[in-house]
Amino acid sequence: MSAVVRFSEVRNHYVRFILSLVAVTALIGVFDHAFEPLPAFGKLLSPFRGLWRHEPSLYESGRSSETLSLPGLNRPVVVQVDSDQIKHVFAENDADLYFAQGWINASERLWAMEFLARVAAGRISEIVGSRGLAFDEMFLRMGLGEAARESAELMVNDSMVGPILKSYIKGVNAYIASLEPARLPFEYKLFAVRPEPWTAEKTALIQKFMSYNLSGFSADLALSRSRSKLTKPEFDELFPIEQSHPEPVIPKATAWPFGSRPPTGPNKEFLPEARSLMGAAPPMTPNPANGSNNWAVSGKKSTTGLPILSNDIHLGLSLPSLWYEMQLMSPSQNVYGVSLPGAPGIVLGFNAKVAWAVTNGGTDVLDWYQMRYRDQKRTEYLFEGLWRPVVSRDTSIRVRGRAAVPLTLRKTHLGPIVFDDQESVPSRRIPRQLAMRWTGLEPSIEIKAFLLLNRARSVADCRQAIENYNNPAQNFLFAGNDGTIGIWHMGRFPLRWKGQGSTISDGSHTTYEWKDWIPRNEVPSIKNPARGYLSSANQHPTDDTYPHYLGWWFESPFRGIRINELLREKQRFSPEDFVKMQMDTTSVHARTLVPILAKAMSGAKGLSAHETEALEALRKWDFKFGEESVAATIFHAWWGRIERRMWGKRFPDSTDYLYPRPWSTLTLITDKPGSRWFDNPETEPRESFTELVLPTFKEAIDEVSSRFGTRNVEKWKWAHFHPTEFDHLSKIPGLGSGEIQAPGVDWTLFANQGKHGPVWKMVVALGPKPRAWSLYPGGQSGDPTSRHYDDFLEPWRAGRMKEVSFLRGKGDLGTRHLQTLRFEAGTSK
Amino acid sequence: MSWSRIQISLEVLALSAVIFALSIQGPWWILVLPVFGYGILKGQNQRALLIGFGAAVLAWIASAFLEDLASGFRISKRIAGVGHLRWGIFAYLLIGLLVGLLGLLAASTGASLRAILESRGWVRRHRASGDARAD
Repeated sequence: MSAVVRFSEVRNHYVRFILSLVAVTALIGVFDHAFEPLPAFGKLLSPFRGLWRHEPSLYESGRSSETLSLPGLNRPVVVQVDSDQIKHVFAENDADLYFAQGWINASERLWAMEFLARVAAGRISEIVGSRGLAFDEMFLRMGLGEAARESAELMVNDSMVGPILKSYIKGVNAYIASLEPARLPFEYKLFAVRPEPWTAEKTALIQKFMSYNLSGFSADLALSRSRSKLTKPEFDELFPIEQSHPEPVIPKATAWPFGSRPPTGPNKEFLPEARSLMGAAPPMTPNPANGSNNWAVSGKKSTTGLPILSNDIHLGLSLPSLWYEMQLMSPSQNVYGVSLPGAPGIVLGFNAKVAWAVTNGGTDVLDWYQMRYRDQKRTEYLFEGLWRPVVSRDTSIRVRGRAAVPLTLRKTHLGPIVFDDQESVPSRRIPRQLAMRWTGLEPSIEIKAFLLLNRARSVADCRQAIENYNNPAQNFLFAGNDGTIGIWHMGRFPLRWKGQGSTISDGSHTTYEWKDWIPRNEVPSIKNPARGYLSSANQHPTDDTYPHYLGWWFESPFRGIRINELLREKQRFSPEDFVKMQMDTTSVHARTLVPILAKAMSGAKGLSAHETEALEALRKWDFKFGEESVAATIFHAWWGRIERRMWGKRFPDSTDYLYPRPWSTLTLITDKPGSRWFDNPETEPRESFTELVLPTFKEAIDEVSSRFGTRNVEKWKWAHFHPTEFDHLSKIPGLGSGEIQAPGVDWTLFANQGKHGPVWKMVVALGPKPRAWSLYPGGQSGDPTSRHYDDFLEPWRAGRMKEVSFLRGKGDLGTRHLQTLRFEAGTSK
Repeated sequence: MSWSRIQISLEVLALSAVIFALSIQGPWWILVLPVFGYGILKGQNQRALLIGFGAAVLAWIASAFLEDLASGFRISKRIAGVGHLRWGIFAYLLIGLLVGLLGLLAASTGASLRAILESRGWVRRHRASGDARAD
């Protein structure tokens, strides 16, 4: 071989080697590096340590007994695991009980706990990068973190809560310390982060996040905008401050043993300036439909002779669920229900003596104030003729993969200025440069109320327990095995003049400040009513005779009406009746409106074949929003078109402006069909409701048929039109449920709105041995790769609640026994 | 099956077992070392590349499958979902592609080095080498 050929061959070897080496090194380099927001794919996808690495949880090991040595425990704790993965915890003292609860909560829901605490603290950008900035900015400006710090201090220093919380935190941290990389929850691996140690502040952050979720919604800005489009008499007609609902929470004509003493209101209505009607676009707002149902019958209306209580909580549908079901037993208590992972105790549940259920109260505890700044710098504002300084604090948001973002937080004596960005797009729901007063920002210790409820032995104890409860407003319904039932609309409520805070307030006068509180013995309440039952469904708490003004925005009373009519239907109710009631999908709204619509459509000409078929389906409808119902689809689309036709011309955008409440619109249709509000202001002659029916029907049919075609109206099933989906709690794609089919709509008892609905369902029959049924959608495990992540979804969809095993001692669970865990006191490494 | 195919299969199995063992403790990219070594050992031929590719893919896919099996195939479903992919099988394809490419390049690097060493006369020319020529 010639030297030239040889040289060429050697050169080729070198070139090939260098190219291969560079390629392999580059590939490793690329896949070993996280190009934010993308993760480092090599480690992430490795089956030896990344997402594929699956360590079955302790509870899915298949072994019927396990013993664990846990440093920090004083005495052994026994945990019985039943076939639904419910943990029944038996401890010899409270310190060990809450330690074990903390350990178990963390072992199944660590990511959810940490994520929620980070959201409230304004710290998710540290994990998800700049996608989290808008959330972090909002929560930092609101000051949830500061409120949580103050609340944590209160909790830790409380003689009852402090030791309990410390034990719980020790349990969570014992679990975190035991975590090896392979056992990190899926989401931690995905974002390549390690869990932080748990603290009292994090527990308080979760408490504050729930407060925000349930009482952070405000219609003040949207209502102020709607006010700007109406005269005062028009506004009063469409948005009445005093609403005459047929079924308030506290039965009508209840006598109040105290009088009205409202603070002095303004002489003249305050109308905010146009600049205050501009708004920022918040990354999230609490769903105004965050609510619930609860009801109870006394012994005289129950088949058991003792009270039966029911509760279903309506929140955003997520995987994993916010709740974690368990039983806690120590010498001081034996309580069953759901805990909120991140906080000790049972939030909703029962013990051998009492059961309790809550619904969102809706009382207005959040006001927005227009501030009059001295100049563009906005460092001073006018209050009662004097310039006061805006208190500023510089901070920053740590962002993964980029430099921290500086932020200046501003505060007035009324509260924080939440949306301060002058460059924000002028639209949407949250006002800019306005100060916010919200009871959720006050230091509070709600957890104490629940810990006391866990130990309560009578309804009187329950009432005493909720003395510690501030925010959010809740309808606490109690039932005791002494036969007592009672409901309290509880919270810390400002004493208001009528209408105060319904629209944007004037922040330069003391008239609009909160000066006093409604005394706790004057909140709406009733015990043992003659009618033998109580209920609440987020509607107005009282009729107009209640001496104090509570607010304006309450849920339309459709669910409340339905519950009470069902409770009047029978003489006596069994727990099974209550289980069935929870799945009720009859719409009072549809039942009221459809006959009117059908009558108005009689004799309608020019209907196509499928329009005629659709109308016929509606005429034969039983008003149930079942999965298969075609009529439900047609009605829902039709109602949307009616609302848009009535209000869309007057209020340009249903997001920025508030339409009259559905109850008000329905009342106009039923009581004032000739009202001018049915008239299209842009056309002549004046129209009545009847003229609006046919075109809106055709629009609705067009809307539905554009999605499902006109060939087979049978395809227009409600569950297709209105699919249900559970997103992952942190909105990570692929970790949710995907679309499933389920019945219900927001105004039926099974209040399924598709992405929002019943997230905890419970029925308790009190007695010498209480029996209870429960269910929540999702599953006990927070691990997306576990079969217990979503195994409660099918029973939830189908309405199959399970009878719970409420153990009275360490006794065996019988055929439902899956595993016994023994936690023993260990020593630190 | 021909002896040659059996031999290839056995070599793939043996190499993937080495990758498997090293990957338990080592970094995710540790597989390149045994495959690179195998490339040096076997020299520059398509068979070495094929075995490097196959062993790397087998080690990862088999490990992933075992984990996936234990979870009732929920892991692949979730990984695919996170990546906006429809079916779990795509999660396997994804890691197969990543690790196969790495295995192929590692084998190629090793084999190229072997060829250099051979051309320098520092190692004996491999009989099975595709590049082997009579001087």
